[in-house]
Parts: sequence; structure tokens; C-alpha cells
Amino acid sequence: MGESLKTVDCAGLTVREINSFLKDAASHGPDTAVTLINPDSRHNIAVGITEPLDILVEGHVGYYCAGLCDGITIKITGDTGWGLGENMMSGSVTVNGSAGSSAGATMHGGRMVVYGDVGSRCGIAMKGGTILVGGNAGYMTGFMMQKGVIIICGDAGEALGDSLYEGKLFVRGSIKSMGSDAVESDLCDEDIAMLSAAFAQADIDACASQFRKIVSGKKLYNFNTKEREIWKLAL
Amino acid sequence: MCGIAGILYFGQTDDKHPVGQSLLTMSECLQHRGADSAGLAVFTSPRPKKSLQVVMPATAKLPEPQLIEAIYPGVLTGLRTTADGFAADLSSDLTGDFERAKVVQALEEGLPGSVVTSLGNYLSVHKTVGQVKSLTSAAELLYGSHGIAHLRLATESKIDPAHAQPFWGRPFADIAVTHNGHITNYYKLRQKLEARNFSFASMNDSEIIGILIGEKLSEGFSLNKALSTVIPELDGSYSFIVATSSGIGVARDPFATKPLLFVQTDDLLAIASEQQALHRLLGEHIKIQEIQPKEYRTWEKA
Repeated sequence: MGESLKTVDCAGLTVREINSFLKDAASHGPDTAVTLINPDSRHNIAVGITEPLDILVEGHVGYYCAGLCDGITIKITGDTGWGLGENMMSGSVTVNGSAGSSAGATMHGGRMVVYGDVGSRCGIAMKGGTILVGGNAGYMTGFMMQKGVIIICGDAGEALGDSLYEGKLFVRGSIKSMGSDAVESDLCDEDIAMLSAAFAQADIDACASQFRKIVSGKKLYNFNTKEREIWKLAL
Repeated sequence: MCGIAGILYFGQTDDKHPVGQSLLTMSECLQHRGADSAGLAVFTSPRPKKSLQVVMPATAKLPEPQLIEAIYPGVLTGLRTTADGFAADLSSDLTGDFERAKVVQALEEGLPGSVVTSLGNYLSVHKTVGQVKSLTSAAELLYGSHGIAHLRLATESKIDPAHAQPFWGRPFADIAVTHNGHITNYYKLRQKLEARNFSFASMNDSEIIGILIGEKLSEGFSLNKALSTVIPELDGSYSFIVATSSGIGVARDPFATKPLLFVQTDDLLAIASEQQALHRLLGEHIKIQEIQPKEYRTWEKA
């Protein structure tokens, strides 16, 4: 973290005022840091900040925290609601607690670490970057993902990686069920290096060899009349 | 969208918990999820006789008590006015859900525009058009063992007290439901029930959930078994909370399209659409859990 410019007490401020303050702080240069206290599980905190800024949020936040951001570094000490870091382009989002559904939805780049659990549809339509989940991931994790990496240190829910185009999922625990066209694949050296680096960076005690790798079977890329059953299942 | 909440205080005998106030606290946090109407359903200490609550249209003048009693002679006693209509006790000679349904129907026909919003020994329902803060004074007086709340964002059907939630599962005593979502096969289900002489208070799809569950309970099913039987019949998106005199049940649709979180301690169970409601009620240091896709579960108050 850079030098803390200011601690902002969110109590008494509207979300618009909080976000305006953050945008203004980001314009002071890449080493600026802000601490938010009393976020009170409110929605839309730290949304739409497109210049580098270090943000520490002390407490829980609601929906869409850190959405539509580019290049910020944000750490949330509590839990988050739905849509964490939605469509983030680059930067880093860290959550000490758990996140709700659709964490990292349509994310293009950057790094998201959730030390607790994530809800349903984590990384839906993901287009790049890495999501590391310390706990369990819910239903339809990685649904229609197009690029990027999702690492789950705990268990994965039903329909893991359903209809994914590209990208990789890694799961240490159990997988309740695989999604349509999601298939298991072997870990390569590149994967092991990437996983090891991710665990070291997040200070998570895990070993790459404990993980299973899931990728696209690519059977849904083209419609084949002989494979109607696959499409019936997928749709 | 819509916001839903529920609270259950565990314990056999103590039904003097501030259920209304707890629901109000959570509802205020969920207000942004829907501001068209709001409502609370609280299970209070049991009344010796079953009573019903009737909401009258805002413009209607309440008829004299003897005129109301005359609508179905010999059945209604202890008539008392309420903020939006009246309440009355039902004669204990009246046994059976469908006997009581006849009284409900007669009252609604005899008092044009009126709607019976609750019936039972425990159930007390308070609804308002607009924001939940209108229910503050009523909520502060509502003590009991458990209850549910609703904040409505209307996406279909009218905005009036009859279409506000929580819904009583008419004609079954002491059952109420609060629902976030849409029951897309509502008309088909309703037609089947109407063919069997069920009546409805509204054109709101959510109302049917409590009726379907109530019927299973009247057949002797446990709440858990009733949920397992009714859920496969429901199509659409739903997170709902059902409350009966003995406890609370919840369910979430297979795609988990609507949120539902809960906190369980030794003393209580709190359920809400969003985490802020649970934190506001129970503080920052609580373990919040999520009801899973296609999960249903129940809790007994004792």
C-alpha cells in the first residue's frame, strides 16, 4: 500500500460522495492510498475507478464492489455481496471474508483473491485474469468463461465450468458435478508454475499437485446434427 | 427485485420476543429492493379463538359491527377496528378450513373491495402501500416467536394492500409466505385450485405458494415434507420464506436467481435478501450463510 492519503468514514456519506472522493484521490497519482471505514454492507462502493489507487475497506460491502475498475488495488476485510469486481480490466481485488454470487463476472484482467467462499456463477463470462478462491465455490462456477484462470482451494458446486469456451479451472476439493462440455485435463509444467506463484503471492498453503484441471471439451464450438444430445443437455 | 426477511426466536414457551421490531430493522435495510408496498406477518402468543383480519378500501366507511356480523350470522364475535379495517374472532363451532373459507368469501362479497389478509390463532399481518416506515408504530407492538417481512417492487398485478405481501395461505389457518421472484406457471396452478373451489385474495403469483403448502400441511404433512412436495410444482424464480405456527421454512430455485442469506445462533434464526439487514440486526461479527440453489430447509421454533 502507498501512503494513506486519508481515512474516510463512510457513515453519513452517500455512495456517490464516497466514489467521487475515491476518483479524486486516484487522480493524485499511483501511490495514493485510502482507507474506508464503516462501509455498512452498502452497494456500489469503489465502482468505476480507472486510475491506480490503493483502497483498504475495513468491514463488509454490498453488491458490485470494485466493479468497472481498471488498475486499482483494493482489499476488503469483511464479506462482499454479488458482482464483486465485475468487468475489472486490471488491478487486484482481495477479500478476507466471503463473496456473493457472480464474483469476477466478465472480468478481463487482473487478480481476484477471495479467502472465504464464493457464491454461484463466480467468473461467469470471464475474459481474462485470475480468480483464486480460498474456500468453496458455488453453482456454475466459470459458466461460459472465455479466458482466464479460476483456482478453487475448497470444493466446487454443481455444473462446474458449464459451457466454457476457453480458460482453465483448478479444483483441490470435490466437484459436485461437471458442467456441459467441461472436461478434466492433465496439469502441465506451466500450470504448476502458475499455481505455485499464485499460492505464494496470496500466502495460501496449497500444493499444485493437489489440484485437478478442468478445461473446455470444445464440443459446443460447432453445431453437429450427430451430437444433438449434447446440445439438448447444454441448452 | 423485492426484499424478504424472517426471524425466528428458538424456545418452547417464550413468545414475547420483539419480532415486529426485528423485522422492521431488517426491512429498513431492504427498502431499496422495493418501495411499492411492505408488510409484516408475525406469529404472536396464541389467541383462544381463531381470528381474522380484514383490510377495507381506503375510501370505504366501515359498516356498523352488527351489519358486518349479519353477513354470516352467528360466526363473528369481538369485532374491533384496526388501522386499515377490522379484526374479529371466529366462533369455535366453525371447524375445518373450508368452513372458514366460506366465511372469508362471504365477508369479501358482503363488503365490496375488502380483503381478508390473515386467519388463525397466531398470525397477525400488517401491510401498507409504500414504504415500510408506515408500519413502524404497528411493528413496535408486535411481540411473538417468529415472523416474516416483504418489501415489494411490483412487476405485475396491482399495487394495493391486497397485493402486498406477506400472503396468508388462504383458507388455511396460521400460514404466511413472503416471496421474491416470479412463479411463471401461476395461472395453470391457479386454474387447478379454482376448479377445486379455492379462492384468492389477489392476482399476485406469490399468493399461490402459501396456498399450495397450506393444503399439504392440512393433509398432515410436516413443513419439510410439504416443501419437498410443492417445490417441484413451482416453475420460475423464487427465494421464499414460509412461516407456520410451529416454525419457518425457506426455499431457493434451482438457478439461485434470487438471493437468500441467513444467520443461525443458539437463540435465533435471521433470514434476509441482503447481508446489511443481518448485520444491522445482529452486528458485524456474525457468520452469514447462503441458502443454496434448489435447497429447501425448515426450522422449528422449539
